[in-house]
Amino acid sequence: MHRWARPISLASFLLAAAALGPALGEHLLTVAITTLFMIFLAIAWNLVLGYGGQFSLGHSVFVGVGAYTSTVLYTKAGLTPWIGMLGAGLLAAAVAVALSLVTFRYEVRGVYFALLTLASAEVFRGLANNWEFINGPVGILLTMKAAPRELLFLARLPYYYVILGLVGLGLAVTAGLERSRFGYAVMALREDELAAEATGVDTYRSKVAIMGLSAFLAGLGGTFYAQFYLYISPEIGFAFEHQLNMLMGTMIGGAGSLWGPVVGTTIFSALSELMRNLPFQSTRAVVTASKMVYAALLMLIIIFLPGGIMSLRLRRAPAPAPARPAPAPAAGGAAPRAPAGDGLLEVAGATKRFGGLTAVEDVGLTVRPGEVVGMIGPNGAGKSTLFNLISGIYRPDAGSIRLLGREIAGLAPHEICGRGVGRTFQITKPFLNLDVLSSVTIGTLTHARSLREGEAEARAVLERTGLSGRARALGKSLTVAERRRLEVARALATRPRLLLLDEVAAGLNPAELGEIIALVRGIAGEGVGVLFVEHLMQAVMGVSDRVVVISSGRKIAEGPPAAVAQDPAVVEAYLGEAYVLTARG
Amino acid sequence: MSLITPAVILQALVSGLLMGSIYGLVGVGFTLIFGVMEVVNFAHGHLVMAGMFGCYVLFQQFGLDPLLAIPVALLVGYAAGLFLYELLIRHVVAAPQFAQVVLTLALFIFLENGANFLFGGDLRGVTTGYTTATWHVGGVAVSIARLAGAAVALAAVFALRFFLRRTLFGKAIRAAANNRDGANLVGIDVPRVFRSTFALSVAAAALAAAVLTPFYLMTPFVGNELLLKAFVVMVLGGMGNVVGAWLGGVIVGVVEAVASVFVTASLGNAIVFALLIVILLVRPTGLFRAEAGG
Repeated sequence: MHRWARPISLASFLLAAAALGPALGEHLLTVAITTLFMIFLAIAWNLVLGYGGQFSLGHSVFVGVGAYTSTVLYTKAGLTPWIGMLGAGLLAAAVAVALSLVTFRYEVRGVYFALLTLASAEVFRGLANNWEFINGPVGILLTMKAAPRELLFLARLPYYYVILGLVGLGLAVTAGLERSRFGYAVMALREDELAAEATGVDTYRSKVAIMGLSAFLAGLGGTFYAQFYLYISPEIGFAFEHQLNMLMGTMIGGAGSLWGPVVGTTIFSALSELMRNLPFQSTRAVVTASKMVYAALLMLIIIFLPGGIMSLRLRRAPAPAPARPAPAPAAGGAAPRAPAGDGLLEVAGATKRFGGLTAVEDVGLTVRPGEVVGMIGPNGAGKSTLFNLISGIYRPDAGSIRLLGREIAGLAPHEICGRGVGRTFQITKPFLNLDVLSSVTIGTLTHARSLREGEAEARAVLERTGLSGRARALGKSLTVAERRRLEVARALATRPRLLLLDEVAAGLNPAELGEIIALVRGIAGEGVGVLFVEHLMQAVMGVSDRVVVISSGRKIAEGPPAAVAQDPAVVEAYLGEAYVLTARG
Repeated sequence: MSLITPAVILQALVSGLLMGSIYGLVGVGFTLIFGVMEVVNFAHGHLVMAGMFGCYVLFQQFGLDPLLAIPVALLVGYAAGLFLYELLIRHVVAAPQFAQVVLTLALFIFLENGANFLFGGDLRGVTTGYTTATWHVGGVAVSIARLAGAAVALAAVFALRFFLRRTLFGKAIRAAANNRDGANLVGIDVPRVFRSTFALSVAAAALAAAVLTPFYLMTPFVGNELLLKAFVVMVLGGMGNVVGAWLGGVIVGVVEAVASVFVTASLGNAIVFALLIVILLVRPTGLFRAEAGG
């Protein structure tokens, strides 16, 4: 897509809507305002769910907190809601950040997060009902008057422009997020938290921040709500209704897409308007009947079109590779600043227990810059556990893990990645709904100064790993071999000093195997230490400077490939004691 | 504060215990589906609500007492469960969690607005001969309607436990809960197990509706609160643990009733949900062992 396509479509939408305003009659104007309000809240929620992948069902908290904040500041302190609105957004964001800091620290995920946020909305409603300062269940009434400086109007049209402005803000924030480092980090964690961490994304901070941003917008929406309806109460402000509207609009339109909330919510309002023409007894009948139809539509969508209506757009054709030359310096290479000859990675006495099982016991290991160390061992020997210890996914129960002389045990995976450890996963973890270029760009953001610079570097890494032709392919459309390359490319993009490769050659044909071996040798040639686990002996023997053998969690042999292959302990570990005896006899 | 005497607290404990037993029944069906299918049914509270309106209609139109309507409730609930499973749930059993949440929330919206469309948003209740009747035992007033509901709930929970532990089909359910693929491999018809489990869960919701109807005022929106109660019950009791759910229900009922004595009723609710948040944070596996049919 052309880089101006988003701003142009956004501007034309806002201009068209602004021009339409005066042409709308009293009734349609009211419908348009409530629709835009729901769109605005859905846009806010879409940031957390669609982009961040966190299923919050407590966003009515932020609407309520926002509505009360500006209303209390206005009625008790005389502060104009134009400014109070900012306070509303900030306080809602503060509540969201506080809530997220705790829930994400305790690693509450998925439906549990949904549950917890839903319950928090009930807690806030209960508290508001019992807080005399804000009139408890009675609520706060605003006077109807024409006071533009106080965000109060007698006519509808000014409200229309205010909420249209907010929708413009929400869309601009979303579009900006899609093209920002923060947005890339958030989308990576939505796709796979562990892989995002290992690629240098601070997932904890990103989750908290996206909740804060989203709640800020929802808080602004709360202020608008109070000013438009001139009334706020616990039942209205913290109503689950807000949350359901956000959910319906976003899900029908398409979560994680810029226009999804706009499309989905507009369809809902249009449907309600159509149903007004049916011979219903009351407004309640119209509203409830249209919600029933809408709920049925939502069921159909989630069963048959889980991506929402926006997923129906034809996927754009892969963009042709740009003509601009790849940048020359450090094309996905290492930072060869390690003191030569010194140990790059020094593992000593590393031990990890799971309950009664000791997966890794007292393992020592050294990798020097530019050295390729192969690690072999039977299934379940503890190789992957050792990788997880080095990359920070597990914390060792004993022992030390040093990188360039500094202890890294106990650091978070993204911090270890930042120190210069890149890794791949044995069971590949591609970012399924991101394209290859974006996935690799996320890796460069550990050091790139801008997204543009990161993308240029990512293209160079793709060139090197043979993925250039697939730059715009989504992670989920890749073949097994391509997924393995993507793992390597993503790790390489973080400019590692130490690269941990976990069975990257598994399932490859001989030609692909040759390419991988050449790639590994090339990476090591730049001074990067490589530690790699492999079952294919051909690969291990062909590329390793040194081989380490792990069995039952312990290191049983170490040395040049040829010597290790002859070691009786190794033969025994692989083939059993009887085989050793026979071979000797 | 002088109003808080030992007698008042005892009264709260008894009322809480009775109400809690029924909360346990509301939560049992909810925890069962989660334990077996790993589906969180956000419409569970609204299924209870729908059942209550069903009982209301039976009472108003045909004079059928809600407690006598229990067999009807169980049958209709089971059939409705089969229908809903075939129509909706089976499509998302293997789908990502968020699809399950959205689908069941859509059912939530459908039922709430359906009830609102048919009955309006006002509070409604059923007045039977025993709705306000009480027994006085040592200074404590025991509501007959609640006592009957609590007894039915307790019996139902233990009947369900017996079914899951002692019958062949119950064992198949527990096997499928423990390991879906493993159960499939040994010849258990997993889709059939899921369908029946969902139907059982809706039947339990309908039963809860029947015992609530004589004394509990209903609106189309009551499902939301019941859903959250079911959540607390499930989390307290351990995901999928049937007897745990009943104990969890009792804890919820007692906490709520005692909190209403010391603070106000509306804050009592908030305290129950705050309890849920704390437990989700520090002990997400629940206070009791998590096991389907345990």
